[in-house]
Amino acid sequence: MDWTKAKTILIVALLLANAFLIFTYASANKSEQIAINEEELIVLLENKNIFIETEIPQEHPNLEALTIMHTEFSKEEIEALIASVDPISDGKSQDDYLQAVEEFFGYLGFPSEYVEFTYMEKNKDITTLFFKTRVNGIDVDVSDIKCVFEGNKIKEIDGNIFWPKEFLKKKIDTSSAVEALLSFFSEWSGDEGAIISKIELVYWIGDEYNENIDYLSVTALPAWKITYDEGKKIYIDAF
Amino acid sequence: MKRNPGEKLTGRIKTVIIAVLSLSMVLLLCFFWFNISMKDIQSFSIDNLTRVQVNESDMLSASETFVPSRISFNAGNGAYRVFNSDEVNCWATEDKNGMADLLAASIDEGVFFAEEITMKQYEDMKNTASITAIFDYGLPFKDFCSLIAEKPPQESDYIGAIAEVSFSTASTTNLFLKDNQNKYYGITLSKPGEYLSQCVNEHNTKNTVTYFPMDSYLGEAISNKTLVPVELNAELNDFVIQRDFDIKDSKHIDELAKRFFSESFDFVRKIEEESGKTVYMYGYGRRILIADVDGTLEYKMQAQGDAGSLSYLQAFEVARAFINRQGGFFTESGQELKPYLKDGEYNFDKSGGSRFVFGIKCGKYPLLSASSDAIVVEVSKGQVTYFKKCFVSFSESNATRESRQAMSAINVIAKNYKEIYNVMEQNMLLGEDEKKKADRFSVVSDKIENMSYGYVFGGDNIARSAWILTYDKQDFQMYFSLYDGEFLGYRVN
Repeated sequence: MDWTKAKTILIVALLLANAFLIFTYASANKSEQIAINEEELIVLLENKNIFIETEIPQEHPNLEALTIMHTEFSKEEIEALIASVDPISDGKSQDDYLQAVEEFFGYLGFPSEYVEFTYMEKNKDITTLFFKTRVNGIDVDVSDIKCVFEGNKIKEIDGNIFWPKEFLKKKIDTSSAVEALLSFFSEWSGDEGAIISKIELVYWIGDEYNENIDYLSVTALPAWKITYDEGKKIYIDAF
Repeated sequence: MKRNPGEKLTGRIKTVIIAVLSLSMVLLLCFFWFNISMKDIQSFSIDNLTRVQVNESDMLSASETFVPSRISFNAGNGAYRVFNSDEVNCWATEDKNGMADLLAASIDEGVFFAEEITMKQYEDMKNTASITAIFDYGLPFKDFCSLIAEKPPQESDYIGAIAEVSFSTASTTNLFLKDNQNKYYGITLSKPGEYLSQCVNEHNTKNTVTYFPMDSYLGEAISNKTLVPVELNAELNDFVIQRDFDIKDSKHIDELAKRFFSESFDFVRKIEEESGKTVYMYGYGRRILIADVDGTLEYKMQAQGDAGSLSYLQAFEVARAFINRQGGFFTESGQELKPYLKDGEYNFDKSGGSRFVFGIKCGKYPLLSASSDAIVVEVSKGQVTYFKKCFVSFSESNATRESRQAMSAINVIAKNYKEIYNVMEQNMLLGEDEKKKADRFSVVSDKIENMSYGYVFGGDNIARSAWILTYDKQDFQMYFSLYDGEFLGYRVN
């Protein structure tokens, strides 16, 4: 008997069998992929009077869970530091304000790579700059910092300040914005409809701990934040 | 024809390839056969291999757990002797002639008959030379019959949870039962309890502490029959305890938490509060674990699904399996604790759920915390929906010393009745009629349901020898130093 030929035939047969099994297994274990595209989703939402007035994000990177630490400074500490800081020069462009705030944050030990300027408001002599904590391009939703200038001097620093303390090792497979909107649709029970103005991926700590901040650190997990009807928000786990 | 070396090598390589492909085909077939998905592989964690499940043989079985809390012997002259159930051999014996054995035999042989009797008849029986097995926890009689016999008798449907089971030498072919609804029954046995009669005689002559009902000390003003020792020489000594974990050891706490969340730990939020408490939360409160600064672990889970309720015994098996997965009754330092069932309730949630409360012993004596029980488990809809654990380590050899006289039980009450009354008043444990009574001593004395002694520890990690006064079915306890009667603390559930 020609064992060499027999072995070759056996190898080919086993290869085919393995390929068949792998293909069948992979097809059977495809996770419940949403068999719906964006256009279909929009039609579905509009049937419930839900309209999207923003772009639906296409990207959803896999993210690690993040431990964030709550940072607090005493009022006396802040006031003492404010008193010691020089006023900004006349001119007062946005960049001047930003530079002053950046220096001040430096004195407080804020890691600048996580501080993201969002917008500025001016009202007569009061100028307020708003910042968020942002990690790898994703907002830490609970963290917001406000810096108030009166004239050309810092008057007040306020907000819930969180910094990243630790990334967990494993990356979480995040769901897509389309899947999040589908969840939103399935949970929507309102009769009047809604207008969605923003959809973004954020780090979220949950409602309970967002309200009562008397803790040192908390795990933030990725969630889709859907803003609708002029400021209402809903968070949908992105995993 | 000889093959050249190249052909030989090719042949060997092909053999290896065939072996590898065959193995991979077997693995793939296994994936299909056992329905293993990619998610199962991704969520596999080495932690699953190192989980601290204890051996089945180390976990208490139902028949080892559901035993009397204590057994008292009446000499027939008003004097009693009280023992832990494992100190006397009259409940379930090797020769099948203990109280539980006789009851089982009467059920299996079809002679079981339960006749309702009056309280007076029951008390008259107990006043003879007799044995009484006392159950502090609620064990449904029907479930108890399922445990000891092949099939519970029909009459067990209308008998509540067992409070006491008694045997009298004056009526050796009967057992007597008191349930938690204060109903009394005489139960026919298939054979006389001769061995039990011998037990009564033997234990009533033993040189141990003698007890009398409280009213025999305090006169007619008090109507309480709670047994109280005449005098007590005790060997108990104060000793140091160690909490099961240090809340500052974040890594250890994470390891403990993984036992509760295992495959879903990646999606668990961890919150460290300013108080030091650490909270783990899965699914926005669907499952929560709290590790507190006092060394307690508390787990809550919202019941899922519409599964029906389980029987008390079935729920016990679910609770037992869960305790087993969390390390059983071993402390984190590896000490094996001695558990006992302190309390239990069927249908505590009005939906057929069961609750089990375990205490631990140091030697023969209970080791209680002024704030938490050793283990509390609640089972609802077939799942553990609540679990709380408070373990401590200690050296048993430090817990005893040379015997010395304890303060008498009656003097402890006399010294502290005002304090006890004040605590009751502050915690709204007094009825309107009781508040109106001028004699606070009799109010306090009449309400005592049990007076025992053991060890109690609080926040300072010292377990102190103590008198334990129990009220309101263990919902309220007062603790006093065993030797000088000083107030140690109290606990209200």
